[in-house]
Amino acid sequence: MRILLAEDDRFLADGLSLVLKDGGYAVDVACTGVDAENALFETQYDLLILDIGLPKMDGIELLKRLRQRGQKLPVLILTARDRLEDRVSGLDLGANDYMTKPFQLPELEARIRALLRKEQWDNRTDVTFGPLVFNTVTRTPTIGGVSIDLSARELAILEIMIQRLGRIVNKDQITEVLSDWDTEVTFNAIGIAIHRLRKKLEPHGITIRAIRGLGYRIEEESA
Amino acid sequence: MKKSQPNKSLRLELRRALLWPLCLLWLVSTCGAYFLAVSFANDSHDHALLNTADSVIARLRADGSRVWADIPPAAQAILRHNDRDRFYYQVISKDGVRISGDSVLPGPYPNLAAREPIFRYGTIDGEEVRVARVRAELDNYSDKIVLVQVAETLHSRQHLAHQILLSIIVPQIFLILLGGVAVYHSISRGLRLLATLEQALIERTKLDLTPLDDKEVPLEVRSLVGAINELLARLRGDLESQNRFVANAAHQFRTPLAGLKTYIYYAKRLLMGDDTGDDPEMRKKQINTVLDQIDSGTDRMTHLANKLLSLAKADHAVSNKATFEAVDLNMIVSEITAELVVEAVKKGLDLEFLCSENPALVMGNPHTLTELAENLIENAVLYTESGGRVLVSVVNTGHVLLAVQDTGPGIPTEEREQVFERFYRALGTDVPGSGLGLPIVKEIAIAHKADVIITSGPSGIGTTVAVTFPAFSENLLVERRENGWQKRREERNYHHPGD
Repeated sequence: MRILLAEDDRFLADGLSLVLKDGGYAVDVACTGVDAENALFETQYDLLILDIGLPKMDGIELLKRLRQRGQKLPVLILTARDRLEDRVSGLDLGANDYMTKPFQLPELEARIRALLRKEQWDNRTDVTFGPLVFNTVTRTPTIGGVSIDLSARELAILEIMIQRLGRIVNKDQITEVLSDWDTEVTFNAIGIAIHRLRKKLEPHGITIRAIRGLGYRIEEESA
Repeated sequence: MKKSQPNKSLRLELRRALLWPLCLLWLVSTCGAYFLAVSFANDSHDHALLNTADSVIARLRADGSRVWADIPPAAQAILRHNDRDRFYYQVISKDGVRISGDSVLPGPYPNLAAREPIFRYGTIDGEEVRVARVRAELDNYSDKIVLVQVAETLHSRQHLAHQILLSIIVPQIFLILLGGVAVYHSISRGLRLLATLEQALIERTKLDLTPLDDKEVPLEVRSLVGAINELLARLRGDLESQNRFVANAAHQFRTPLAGLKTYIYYAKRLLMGDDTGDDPEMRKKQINTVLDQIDSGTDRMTHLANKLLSLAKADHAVSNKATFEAVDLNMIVSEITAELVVEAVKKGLDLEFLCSENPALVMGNPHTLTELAENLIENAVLYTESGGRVLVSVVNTGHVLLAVQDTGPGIPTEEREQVFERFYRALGTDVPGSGLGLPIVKEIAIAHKADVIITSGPSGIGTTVAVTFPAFSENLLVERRENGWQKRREERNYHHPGD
């Protein structure tokens, strides 16, 4: 999942992107409204976290233009302004959620998950694939009630695979989801991560098949 | 109405100012009226008395040396007993010897030769009487001339005098009473209007600063209400800007607080997580990085709090000029520039200070002036990229001028006013600023009656902030030169005993 964080305060932006990256998201930070808008033109983001008080173009203006262009990605407003009318106008302009600074991190993460779930999973909380149950709320894969221990990168790959069950996911798509401006994930690194993931899943009868030239697909191993 | 007694009761004051003069007026007019009445009564009665004397004269009969009044008893009765007064008459010779008539009349008096009638007061049987004396010529009398004295008691004229007096005094009393009541009532009504005003003020909450209604108040109080309304308007403005400021300050704290919370959360997660394969050294490093971030975030908030505090102090300085003294701006600016050189060198900037040739004296508070210079130079250093140049100069051309010139990104013309607004940040972005530096500068400049002007640097590059101080008064210079400079010199000697 790739998130654009539009926040002019470097201190908060860095901290948030650390936490979110740790949670397995790819995060880009834009410090001005203009930068954020450019980023939205270039990259397909899954979520925009938007500060209202942005220099050069404020968050409200950015949001207005974004929706006018027909971009549908979920937007979470994150701002120090807490007046009712600010919240109402933010939501009315097409934001999907609103949080006031300072915020509780677990709540922010839960809201991000909820927004993404709606977008990516059509609000389903559990997705089942064979013996594998993927909980979209906690982002934990379990098999027979036992959770599988995955690294952030492995988890992100599994997530995109499960999102596109039955379809082939190509390396570019995976790169898009895993990379951000700071870290470009190489195909090689993806290969390694998929190898590890496969090793963790195969004992349970699930594998990730490489389809040469096209990409990967998650499959149940027919015994 | 009796709710609150002001220090000096307007009503008592008015009563005192009105009642005593009215009483005095009444007293004076009573006396005047009394004398007037008495004199009117006397005039008319004297006239009547004279007539009576004439009738007595008309009745005088003379026979050689004998003179008598031939007044029939019936006429005497009429003469002697009118309803109130008793009447007396007497004929005397021109030498003052009684010839005939009542003997009880008070004796003759000097000036017997007077031809005109003579009036005087006397007493008969202990009762006061009015006596008139008339000269009459009698052909049959040997002496030819007699004097006729008539006298009557004063009851009638007193009665008349009283009546005249009453007819003046009574309406006067009523008039005065009426006036008093009218004044009292109008005062009461006026005060009642004030009381409604008072009530309107009492019933207000402290946040209700809308203007008072001045339609109902008396004309005289309208200017007071106007003044109150002006004060309310000023308070309203102050309160609004204060509220805006507090809201801004709260917002300003929220973002770094959110940052701190984020890092703390991350640190906790790093400590709790037993991520597979993560080597403990690596984790320790990560935690250290996060702690460093928390540390710098706390520093930033401390910086912000300090700036807020110094802004509050600068606000205070506007109203407190007691701490002003003659200060050489060269010293202040050179000291603070020297302090900031370290920061500039760290950033790879060229920070230079040019002092004025002669002392650049201004009247001011050395601490706030230091703060002003510090904020300006700090800003220039903060916003100028590595390799740039910051030139600080003090010029004295009658007016003292402090200019800080940098080769930073510059401030667009349309934003040059806004940067003085609290928490307005022209650049907003990566540079850690509080958004309070220039507002503090402005506040201190106002306290020193100095002008702050922002322009682009030479050839349009960077920013120049110029602070122009008012001309230093020569009188103050002479007066303060000794103690001011002396003091500063002592201070410096104290700080650097070796110099």
